[in-house]
Amino acid sequence: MNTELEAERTLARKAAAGDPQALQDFFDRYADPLYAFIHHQLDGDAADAEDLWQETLLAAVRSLGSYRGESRLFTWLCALARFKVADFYRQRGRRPQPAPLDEETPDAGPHPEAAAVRGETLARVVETLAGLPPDYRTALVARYAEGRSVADVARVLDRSYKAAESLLARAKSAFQQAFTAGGKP
Amino acid sequence: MNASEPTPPGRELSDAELENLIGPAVAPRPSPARRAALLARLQNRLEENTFPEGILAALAVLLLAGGLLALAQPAESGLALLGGLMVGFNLLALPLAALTIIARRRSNHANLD
Repeated sequence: MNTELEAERTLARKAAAGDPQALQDFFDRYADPLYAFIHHQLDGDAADAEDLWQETLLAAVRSLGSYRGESRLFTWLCALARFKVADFYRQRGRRPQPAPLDEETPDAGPHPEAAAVRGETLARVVETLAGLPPDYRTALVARYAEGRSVADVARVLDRSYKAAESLLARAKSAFQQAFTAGGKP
Repeated sequence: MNASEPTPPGRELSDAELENLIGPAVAPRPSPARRAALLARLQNRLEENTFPEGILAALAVLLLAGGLLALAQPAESGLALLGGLMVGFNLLALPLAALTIIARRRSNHANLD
């Protein structure tokens, strides 16, 4: 874990110092998960999510030099995103309320609280995945998000079938442990 | 398990539950155009943040030294006037530049703004 924190601190320091490759690596690694995180925090509003995602990453790059490596870089980014989302809702007055539920209408959509819990849960899944080692993350996403077979996962990771199976088992266990601990592996 | 239900502690998630959690969690992606535009903006922002302050400071010191040298020349050569102007400009510009740099660094370090 300390080596991961150290690597992330080095990446942040290099990106803050203007190293274009470090910025590219930072963006490749964190931009999409951060977008997904914000998207879920906003209960799936794509347009607002893109605006807040942009604001968050611009603020993050401004502040990268102050990242001390006390928490995972993605956790730090999520904290920044939570501030932005809270600000967004503060400016709007409150969390948006859906249209009143009509008992006569069977397809009135999910209850707002359930939608918020689902959004928070999915955001936590994103945070948990981002905290896992890259090969665990790749294996879990390939298997459970892209629906690939174990043989396909083995090909993606350039491993034998047995090795991929074993890696998937370890990845599942690490995910479960981190997820139930609150997304902080 | 539905994503809106809490995870029961200690119970291992099934493959179906993992699909139900991980699939929707990683599905949202920014539009490729917005993604490319943001990366370009971040690169520009970093270039602004890493403006070569050291080079500017070295130039200012050289200008100041040149100005002082010129100031030491005989008044009739005209160089003394030029030197006076250079030194005067430096005395005004250097504190302003220092204040700007300090303000920008403070803004950069304002974490979670």
